Amino acid sequence: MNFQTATNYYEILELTERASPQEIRSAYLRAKAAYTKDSPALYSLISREEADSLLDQIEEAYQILSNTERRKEYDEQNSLGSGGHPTPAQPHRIVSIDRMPPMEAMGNEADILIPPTTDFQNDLRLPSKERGFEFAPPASTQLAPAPLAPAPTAPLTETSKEPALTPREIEEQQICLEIAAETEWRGSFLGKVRKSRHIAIEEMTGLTRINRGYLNAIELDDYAKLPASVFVRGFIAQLARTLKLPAEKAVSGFMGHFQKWILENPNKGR
Amino acid sequence: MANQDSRPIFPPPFTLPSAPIASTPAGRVKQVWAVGGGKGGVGKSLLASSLAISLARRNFKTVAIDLDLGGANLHTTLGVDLPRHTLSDFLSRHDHSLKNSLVNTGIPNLEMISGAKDSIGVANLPMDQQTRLLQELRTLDADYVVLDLGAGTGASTIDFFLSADVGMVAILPEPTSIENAYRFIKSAYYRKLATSSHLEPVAAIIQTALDPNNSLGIRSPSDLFREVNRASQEAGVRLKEVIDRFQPRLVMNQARTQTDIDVGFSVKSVCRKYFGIDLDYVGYLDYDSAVWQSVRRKRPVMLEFPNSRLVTSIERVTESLLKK
Repeated sequence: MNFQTATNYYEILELTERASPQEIRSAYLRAKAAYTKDSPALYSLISREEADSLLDQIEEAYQILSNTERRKEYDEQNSLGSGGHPTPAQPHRIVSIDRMPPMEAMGNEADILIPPTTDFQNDLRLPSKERGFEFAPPASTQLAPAPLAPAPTAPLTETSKEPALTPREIEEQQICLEIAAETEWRGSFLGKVRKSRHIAIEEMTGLTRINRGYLNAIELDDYAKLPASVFVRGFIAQLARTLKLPAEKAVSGFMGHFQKWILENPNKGR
Repeated sequence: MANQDSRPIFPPPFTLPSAPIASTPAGRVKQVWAVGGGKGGVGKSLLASSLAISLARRNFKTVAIDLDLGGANLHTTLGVDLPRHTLSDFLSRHDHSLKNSLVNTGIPNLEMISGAKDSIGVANLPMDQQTRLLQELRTLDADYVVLDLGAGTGASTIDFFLSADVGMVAILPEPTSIENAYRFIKSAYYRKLATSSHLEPVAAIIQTALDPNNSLGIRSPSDLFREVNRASQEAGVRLKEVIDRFQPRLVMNQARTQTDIDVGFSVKSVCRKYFGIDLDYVGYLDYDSAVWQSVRRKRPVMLEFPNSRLVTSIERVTESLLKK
């Protein structure tokens, strides 16, 4: 029934991330009234089961957002709210004209799709040395096949003087190339990237605050053990950000598999 | 594979004359407002006539047009006797200009075109006449044109609604009214998608979706969105754009309690979840016995009971619409 799955608790309550406690309370009461059993607004359009499911989400959203501490924690986990918005380095507002579909009537910037390539490249160029991540080697140092012809006799360039790469650097370059070529974004790939970054699953639990069981289920693509879509979407976005992966692509890819599984397994309680 | 055998609800798509026509040298119309709602008796004519009077009072030159073909009575709510010239003259004679059907209402700045004295079957307006009417109304010498649409979801009614700059859906806080309003919104929604030139590459999928028992399993707008995205992600982006531009206004009539007023917000929320649209809840009209009293006197409630709560709430809705 839902036209587009809400991506966070604010969307469930139709609020902005900067909503005041009073606004949260009003939105909660309004949402409850809309989907409660006797609401005339549901008539002929929304089934009782769908309304119940929405009510569950509304309750859960309110439980978190109405509690100052829990809301702060949730905002930080999901880079939401006033304190945890994407840093300037994260290119969520970048628009690449060459990736725009040929639309005759363009809306405002919010209507424009975030260009995955630009997003991706910028993310790759944001090594987080604090966490020991090293990404995106310069083009001149990328792995390439051996030249067929003898090297020219010209003086050696700066590049050619660089020391040989360590096995770890080669491994990281290899995973960078795989990330660049990735289209599926299954949980198993996220697990592979995590391992390549030498992050233990316990450490990832600490970094993302995602339950270990859910992390395992994501990496094993064991969709039956995952919670509702709205939470999974947040998990994947958080994982992607932590691993410095293009979050839009990762969420879109993973959720595509997850939604397909839900459609094929309608009796799994979602 | 799209079900090619599914029969569309509507006639073949055509380009809806819309806002761009307003910029033609012959026209000065700033905006066309249309009042629909699906169900009869929800106050469409009351709302249309009251909005027209409210606009005229603000010194906007206004024309109210009764497009409730087959059930016209806008002239009565405006306190005008059965007019000599009506829309039927325009529709039956190709040499007859729409301007010649204008009738003075006796209210400064307000003229009307009545839909009374129509011929049997006029409710099913032929496409060429519909197009001619939609084009000519943009050329009228008026700041605002207010359309009073008929009940139901006939193709003409939906096209008139979609061609307006501001499309209002009038509802009552009752299940029957809400059911018909959803049906009306759904018809306009799919009609808008089916006539959008931006969505031609996925027109077959949209036509398939019009059949409620279609083979693709499209039972709701979210299903359609899924199928279109599956066919082409670019088409999915375009679909979202077209949907974002569909922004009907909602007016709750006969609100007796705060709960009644809140039903409007609930309808807005449900429409966001179900259709993915941002329904604009522009206001509510208080239940007021002034309405039936003025109807019996065949006088506009705006003039007969100028200090009533209803008139205050109509002025509020007008103000809200003008600010958009």
